[in-house]
Amino acid sequence: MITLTVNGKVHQTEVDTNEVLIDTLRRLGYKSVKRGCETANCGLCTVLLDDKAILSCSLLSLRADGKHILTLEGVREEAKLLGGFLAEQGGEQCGYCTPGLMMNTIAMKRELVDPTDEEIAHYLMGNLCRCSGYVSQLRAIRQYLEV
Amino acid sequence: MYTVRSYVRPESLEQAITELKSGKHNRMIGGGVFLKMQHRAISKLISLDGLGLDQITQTDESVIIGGAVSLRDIETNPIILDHFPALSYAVSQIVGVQLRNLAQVGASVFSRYGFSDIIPCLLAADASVKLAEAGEMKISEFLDRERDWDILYEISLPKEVTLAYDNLRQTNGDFSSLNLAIGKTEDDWRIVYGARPMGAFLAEAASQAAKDGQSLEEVTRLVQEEVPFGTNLRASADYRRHLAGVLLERLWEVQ
Amino acid sequence: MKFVGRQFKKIDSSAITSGKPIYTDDLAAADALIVKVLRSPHAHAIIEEIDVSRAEAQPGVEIVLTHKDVPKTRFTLAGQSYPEPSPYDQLILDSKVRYVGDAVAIVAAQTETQAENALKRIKVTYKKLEPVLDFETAIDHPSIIHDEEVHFNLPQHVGGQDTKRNIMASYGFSFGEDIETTLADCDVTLERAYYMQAAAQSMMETFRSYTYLDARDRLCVITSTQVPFHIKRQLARALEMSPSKIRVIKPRIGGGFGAKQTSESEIYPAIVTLKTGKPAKIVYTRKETFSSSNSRHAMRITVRIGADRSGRIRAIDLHSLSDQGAYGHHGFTTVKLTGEKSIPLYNKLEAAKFSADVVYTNKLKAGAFRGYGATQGTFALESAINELADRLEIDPVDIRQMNIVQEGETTLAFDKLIESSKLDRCIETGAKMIGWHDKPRRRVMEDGTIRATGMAITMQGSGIANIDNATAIIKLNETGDLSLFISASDNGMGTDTVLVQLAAETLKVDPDEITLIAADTDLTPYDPGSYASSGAYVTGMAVVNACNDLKNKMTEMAAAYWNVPPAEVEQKDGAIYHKDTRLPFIDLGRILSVGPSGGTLVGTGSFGHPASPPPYMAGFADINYDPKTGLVKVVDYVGVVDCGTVINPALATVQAESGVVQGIGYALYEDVQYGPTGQLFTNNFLQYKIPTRPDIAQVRIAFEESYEPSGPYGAKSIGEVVINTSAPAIQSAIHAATGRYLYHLPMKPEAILFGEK
Repeated sequence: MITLTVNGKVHQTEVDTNEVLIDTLRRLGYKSVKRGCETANCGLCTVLLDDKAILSCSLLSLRADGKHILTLEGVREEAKLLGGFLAEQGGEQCGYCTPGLMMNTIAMKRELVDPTDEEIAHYLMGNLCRCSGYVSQLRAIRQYLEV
Repeated sequence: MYTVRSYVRPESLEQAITELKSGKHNRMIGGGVFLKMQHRAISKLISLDGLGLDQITQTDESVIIGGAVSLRDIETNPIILDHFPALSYAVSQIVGVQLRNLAQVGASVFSRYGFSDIIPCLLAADASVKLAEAGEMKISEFLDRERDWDILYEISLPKEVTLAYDNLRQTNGDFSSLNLAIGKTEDDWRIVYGARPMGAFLAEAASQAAKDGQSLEEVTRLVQEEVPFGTNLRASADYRRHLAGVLLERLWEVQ
Repeated sequence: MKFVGRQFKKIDSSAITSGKPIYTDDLAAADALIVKVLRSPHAHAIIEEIDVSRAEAQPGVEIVLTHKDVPKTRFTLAGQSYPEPSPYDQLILDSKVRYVGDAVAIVAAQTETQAENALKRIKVTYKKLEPVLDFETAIDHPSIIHDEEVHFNLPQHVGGQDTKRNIMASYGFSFGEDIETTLADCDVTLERAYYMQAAAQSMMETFRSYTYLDARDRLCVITSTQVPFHIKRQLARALEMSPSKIRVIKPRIGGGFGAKQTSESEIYPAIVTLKTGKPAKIVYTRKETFSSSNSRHAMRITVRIGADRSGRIRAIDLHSLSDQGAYGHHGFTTVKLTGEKSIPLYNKLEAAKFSADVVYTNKLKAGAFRGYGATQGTFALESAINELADRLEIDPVDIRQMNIVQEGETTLAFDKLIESSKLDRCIETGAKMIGWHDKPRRRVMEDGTIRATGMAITMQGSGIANIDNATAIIKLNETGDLSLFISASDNGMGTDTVLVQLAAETLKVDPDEITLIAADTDLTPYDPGSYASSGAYVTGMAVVNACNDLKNKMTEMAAAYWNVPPAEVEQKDGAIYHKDTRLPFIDLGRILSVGPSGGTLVGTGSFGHPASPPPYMAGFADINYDPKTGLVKVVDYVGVVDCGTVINPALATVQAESGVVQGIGYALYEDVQYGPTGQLFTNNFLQYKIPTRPDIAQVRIAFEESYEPSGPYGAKSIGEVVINTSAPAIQSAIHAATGRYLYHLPMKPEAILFGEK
């Protein structure tokens, strides 16, 4: 039995020793968290663990015991703002990489001060997207950072 | 993905090593990122979480990095940025922030990955590592050792070294096709190539020549002669041999 | 226009950006059986024995299926209209495996771990056969990949198939004068062979399908697909059951790019659900998606061009050899586009010829990938045109302007009447934006690196001429709002949104009043699906036609209600007017919902067309080349597109940006490497490198809008044309930088620096 605080809500749940955080979160109903690979390359599964962006596909759920987790479902205001900019640009496209990208972008906004385009691209390097070609997303993220 | 029968969080290093040695299918876990890609059955998985090994500190002579420090912490830590900005840069090129927030340096170095961007830096800096059983030793000695049941819990880099690092990647976030780290002190040079694609290699003759004030051309010639390069999906041995000279030239200019 | 050409967010954007559970795996029942497939480790082998007893005995295992347990009707799962031009050459499970990754057995268990444990316990004895791995020696190879009886819908004299020789298709066309005579008469001729790799579509959502039996024991398939109707029909054949017992539903899709124009994953949970009666789902791993689904066709295209000294291109001959892999999905059609969507760009031709051979090999089967053959054909032909221009010392821009097809012309090659084209303007604008004439094509920078430019042009189609036909239905609800039923299978690009815009424009109503219901074979009308650049054009016209039908019915109804001539009745702003009398839709809905004269008004519209109007694009690459490492970075890319009327500027722009970037990956990074026994090495994102954010610098898109008379408000397609120019434009820039022509994709730093082996 582990205790996870997800988006402020405390969950006590049994987890298999093999279970990784993404599967626990999806089982608990946080379906925004997506998986796109098995090699820690795609960034789709990004959530914030004690305020740091991590790959939820790579962390055993047992190691998240007692931690605070934030998923896209838990950042409504920021998601609405950033999501609005993405949608205006058409940069959300199929949307499958969007939750992970948005979580890492939110982490970036909290961490970097006035980043350049290169710094943004580097911070978000681990978030693959195949639909957008990235440039529309960069336009949206720049707008979001300026708010 | 591996399968695990049990997960253990020991309360001390001693306990960790006892747990590790209690069965031949036991494994240490760092961030678990690369371990996840291996298909193996693990009896007991042991982490160093909560042992205070996630700190970067310094003494007058050294910068000391705990084994559970994340790659992202190395990248952003003020002490590292102050003394070894090249090390910060080297880790910053790895995949993505989310991975670097998880991956731990002790496990990464202990695994001796051929593609490592960190090990060439440590070898060039003539760093030392501390192992729970075998004790403290130079990274070079550690790399020569047979893999055994031990825990790498601390790395220390001598501050007297000026470190430079560069790499060539086909795409950003990819493994290096080749990387180069050079460690310089007042009277020494250490030229180390990694991702050849084999592991880090100290070019001794080239280092000596550089120390003796030989020209870039001569040092390059020696590098290309003494460093073994191989072929994999990313690049051929010939191309890597050529790149070895290019990277050396780049860092040569920086020095 | 009020809604066409204006900015609209995607209708699903708020669900997407708030992480709503709208994708296939989000919708699957928690107790669905987990389906896994045992994959062949051999490229070519006979299954001599297969023992599943230990797997069946594993805890939680519900069922294990082998080739002995599946129907024996061969079929194709290429998502194409009936009768499919792809051969019926596969079974759900076969006693012969034809590539590393081919399906050997199906397991369903309560949990993923149990299913995987069961897979490990299936014992298979293979008799290995010599594999055919090199597509250039596949024809008449001693190993025959399909030695069974294969059914082809295409007659042999059309398709040229000869499976005993590993030939899946072989055909050709000639246009105009005799090609050999014309080439012999040209001042300058050029012959070159180009090699293109089997790139992976790499959509972020891997293949996945969820199946269950509904209250009437019908098989329901919720699946991540571009082709729900084709899947329904093909599953019925494969499973030997009536299509009336199958329902296919497409939820939101996490990208497809053609990969999901083939039914990859549906069949496995479907047969499990039929056999067990229980819900089942399969989620492909990324590795399975790379190594057990489909990719672009690897090809060798040989180009022969002849021109006179002034630069007039008189003859083009193109031969394409296409590596089909193990099964014939999209083989005949993809290769055709290498010629059909490249040669007609040029129309001063006296002679043109196109011929193709498609060969089976023991590798991952090829399928559809954005561009669908046009991408390969464009790389070959445009690279050859650039090399010809260099030879003639003519600017690549000028040689295009001199030779391209003009609006109103009929092309010599493939006989296309071009009713809309601004290709000349695309080239002109693109050249201006990149500064083509303002700077030398090769510039040495202060740091010793080299900046260089290159360009290429391309075309595609809009839907498939004489084949595609889509229907739309729009219903006026009693509450005055509208329900639009379509099946265009938006897989992320925003087709649904564009269709709502078209409906709003036609009915002069606020888009918020229109609810789009998409892609459920029980509810929505037939549509071939999301492929062949058909969404905005084919389904778009169907929507316009349906809305006009409804509009007429509403007008007639209102005219009868007011007892005035229909000609005096007008529709705007969500209401019907007769002079100053206004009848809002909501009131009309209410009137229609009661009494003897009531009834629901439904408009239907269909569209199919004898032509496939080509969109055009000119692409200009500005690269930075490091002469020490061979590394190329595209620092600026300008794409100017003629997609006819732009319906949604932001979404069209993203389509173009996305295509350019996928094209950059295809040109420079996306390497496909096989091991000596046919195992795919590049089967994950560690080894198969799609562009990452820092790889991509500036991409600038502009539009030169022509007006396509057959399209909705003048629109043509945009989805595919945008991927084609990157590789040849970059190839030309690399030549400008280095003096070296590359003939193999991807163009890796090593080959640029040292030359191709």
